[in-house]
Amino acid sequence: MSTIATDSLALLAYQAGNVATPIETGAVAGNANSQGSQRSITMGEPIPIVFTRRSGIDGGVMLKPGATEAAFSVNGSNAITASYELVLGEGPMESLGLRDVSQNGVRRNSSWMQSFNRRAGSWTPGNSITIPAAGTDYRKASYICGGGSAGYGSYEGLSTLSYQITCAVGDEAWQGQVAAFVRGGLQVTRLVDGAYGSSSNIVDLIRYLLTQTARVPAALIDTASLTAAALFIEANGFRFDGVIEAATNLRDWLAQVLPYYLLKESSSGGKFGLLPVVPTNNDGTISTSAVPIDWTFTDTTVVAGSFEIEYIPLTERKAFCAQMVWRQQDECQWPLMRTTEVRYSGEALSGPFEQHDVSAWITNENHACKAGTFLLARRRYVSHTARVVVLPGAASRAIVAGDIIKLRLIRNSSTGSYGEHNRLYQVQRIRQTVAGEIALELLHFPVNSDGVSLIAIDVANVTGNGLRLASNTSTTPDTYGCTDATVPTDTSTAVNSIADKYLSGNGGTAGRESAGSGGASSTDPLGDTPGLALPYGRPPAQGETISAPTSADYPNQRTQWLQGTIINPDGSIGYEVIAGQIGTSYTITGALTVAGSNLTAVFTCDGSTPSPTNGTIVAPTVPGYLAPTNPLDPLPPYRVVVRPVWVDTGYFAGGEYVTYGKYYVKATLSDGATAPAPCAAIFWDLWLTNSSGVDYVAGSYFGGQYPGPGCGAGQNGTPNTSTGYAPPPGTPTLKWVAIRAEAVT
Amino acid sequence: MARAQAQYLRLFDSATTYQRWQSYYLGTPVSWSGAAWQYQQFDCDGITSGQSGSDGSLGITLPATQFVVDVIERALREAWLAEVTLYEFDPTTNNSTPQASQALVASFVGEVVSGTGGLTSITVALGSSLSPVGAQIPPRTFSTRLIGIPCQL
Repeated sequence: MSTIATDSLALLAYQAGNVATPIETGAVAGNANSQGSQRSITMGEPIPIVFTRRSGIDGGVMLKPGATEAAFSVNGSNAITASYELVLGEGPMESLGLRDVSQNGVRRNSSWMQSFNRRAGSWTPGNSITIPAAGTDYRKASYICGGGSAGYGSYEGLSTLSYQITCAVGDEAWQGQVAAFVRGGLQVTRLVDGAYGSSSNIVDLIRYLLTQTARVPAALIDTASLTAAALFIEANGFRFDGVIEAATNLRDWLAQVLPYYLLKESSSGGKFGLLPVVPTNNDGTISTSAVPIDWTFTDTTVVAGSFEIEYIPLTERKAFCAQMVWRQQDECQWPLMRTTEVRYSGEALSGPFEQHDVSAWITNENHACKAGTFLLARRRYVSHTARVVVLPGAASRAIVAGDIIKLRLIRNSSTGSYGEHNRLYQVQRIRQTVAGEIALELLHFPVNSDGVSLIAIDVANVTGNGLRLASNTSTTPDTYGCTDATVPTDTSTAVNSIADKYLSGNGGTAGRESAGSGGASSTDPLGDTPGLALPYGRPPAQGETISAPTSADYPNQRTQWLQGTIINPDGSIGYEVIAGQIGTSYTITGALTVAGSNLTAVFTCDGSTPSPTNGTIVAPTVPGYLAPTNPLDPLPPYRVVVRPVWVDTGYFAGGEYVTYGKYYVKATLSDGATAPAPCAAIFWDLWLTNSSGVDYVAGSYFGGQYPGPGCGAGQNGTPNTSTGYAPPPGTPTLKWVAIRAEAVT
Repeated sequence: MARAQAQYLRLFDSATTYQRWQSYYLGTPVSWSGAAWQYQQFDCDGITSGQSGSDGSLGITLPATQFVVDVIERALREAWLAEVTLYEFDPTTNNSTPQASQALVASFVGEVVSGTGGLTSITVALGSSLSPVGAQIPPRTFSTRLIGIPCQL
């Protein structure tokens, strides 16, 4: 392990999120206009993720879904019926009630149904209006209505809504934008209670995005850290009630939103996690007790001269007023954009102002206030970053990012006076080297005289004024009341959808490639094994033809095809199944069946001299002969190949262990054996040698008789097809495998 | 006490462990944590952990033998994971086999995300597929398969 470069210490405050810029000022993101015409979806636009869970007076999202299909028709009274197929968002959602769906802000006398994973409704898209009716401008009804002769969309994994309304002549409400008040958005398994359902916990959303968007393997997600962070969010009433619909990079998005949830990313041992930026109690609430100090480092445990300090520049520490824009989301009301100014007493009375627009996600005033307070407090109290290298020891093994440490170092000034640097820090980054020294990058952790975090005190104590403003909305001609939670029945039926083309993946052979046999080369004493036709590194596919390599040394080679991995990579032993036929090529005609869920289907072949009479494999006639195996898998020694080995004296001479070569196994017999007597019995022994060099005979199987006069029909030595080789006792991982055959007269 | 550090490298995916390597006990496999670890020369740069999203990478340099190249190519192709662990122990007590009392100093797990090298060595990077330039959210977009031909209103 070598040393590595580090970033400038001045960057640490920015990397730690201590210095952040507000979101670009403009019209607030959470604003929703109830008016306007129904919009249609454009191919290629992102499918929105609606993430919310209404609780009490907070939460819920007023969604204005786009339409993918439409239908328009008129009846004998010239009333127009408009139908819209709308996509609410990705994944399953809670059912909408009659009180939740409106058009231009009015819960009209319409019919609708919600569905998931399929097209909602059963109407056919199209515009059948041919005669313009007086009093209504039917020309606004589009003739490009979606669907198509090839079929409909599958709407796989989408929540959909079919909305239909009939309007009398002169009523043009049918054109209006449909809105849905989503109380329970995308359903996930919640981290805090383990239940499946909608959530307003941003950590649940982040976990969903990690696994569904970035496809981060589970092994790279610090679930314990996420669970603790989710508890922190829950305990402090922080909420995410919003829609993600504008394409952005996940990491950028995290950097944007996490400070408003008092969280920061962490990387522990390569795993992605989240950490609260303030100390917490076991129940997730913000701790206003003395901060426990995880480690104390003094001059005896710090590498001399390694301490560095960098103060955050004044421009990043000026007092300001945080103008937090959040969303008041009342029942049956369109959302109201609210601002709350957060400032320290007597500071920034006339600015500067920083607008932090969190109206797209935050629906709780206290949450907005605490987020604003955190932005102010960290700028007010956190003064510097530091770096120090500590000597190897117990702390260096156990310290983790996020730990609180105390540095007590003697300050020896240039004037000769002595003092003490005695401060608390939070560990931001740890770099470990083979020398055992641990380089720590630290962020100042300000505390009061009682050892309580100053930032935590301010954040925990702040609350909003609790004022709920009225929207001054006029009474609307609603058909359904604000409390009518009736859920319309979903009678949608599956329709034919347009299929995509999938690649078969059979176009080439994966694995170690070969330049082929063509082209002359100069004499190369280090020449590698020629290219091989056998696939390895992946299971052969059904219908694929694989060919065994041939060898000039064995012109009469035959091949027996075997299926199955014998020794699993974890050292356990699977078993072997004869899957195919005799021949130098093999076409896979049936489905591959491999016993054991963790086995890899590989094909092996075994060259030996052919039987003159039938298709069975017999023992070779040359004493000591052992056919070379093929380099089937570049990852030894996870394979056993069964082959006959001939000896003449009725017992095995010993010493014929198969050893692992570069890509193959081989053995050499040296006892000068002669051919056995006709009809000699051939036994097959499987020898296993573990990594400690201890041998085990795992099985002995009768393989048939050596051919000869009087042996009778069908008594040639037949291949050993026994299965279920037991693993050797002790060390479970095998290093070598030896097979031998024995003839007994 | 005298102090030595041994590195262990495990290549695996969600179902299978493909390789277990160690680089301390020269030329011999050792038994540790219920499994055998083959000797394979490799060298890791420093293990970093922290509270920044940029702290999630690690480099491993290996000799460019055909065997290693095959393994690494397969690891890249099949998105294997790699776990590097660093243990500390007193070599004067036992320097031929892993000691039961050896202390875990650091560990790192990541996807095998890239590789570079020449004819003598190959360096692979462990990291996360949570790329700063990829990983778009929302993850899905409207397609013909999902919605057919969209209407125009």
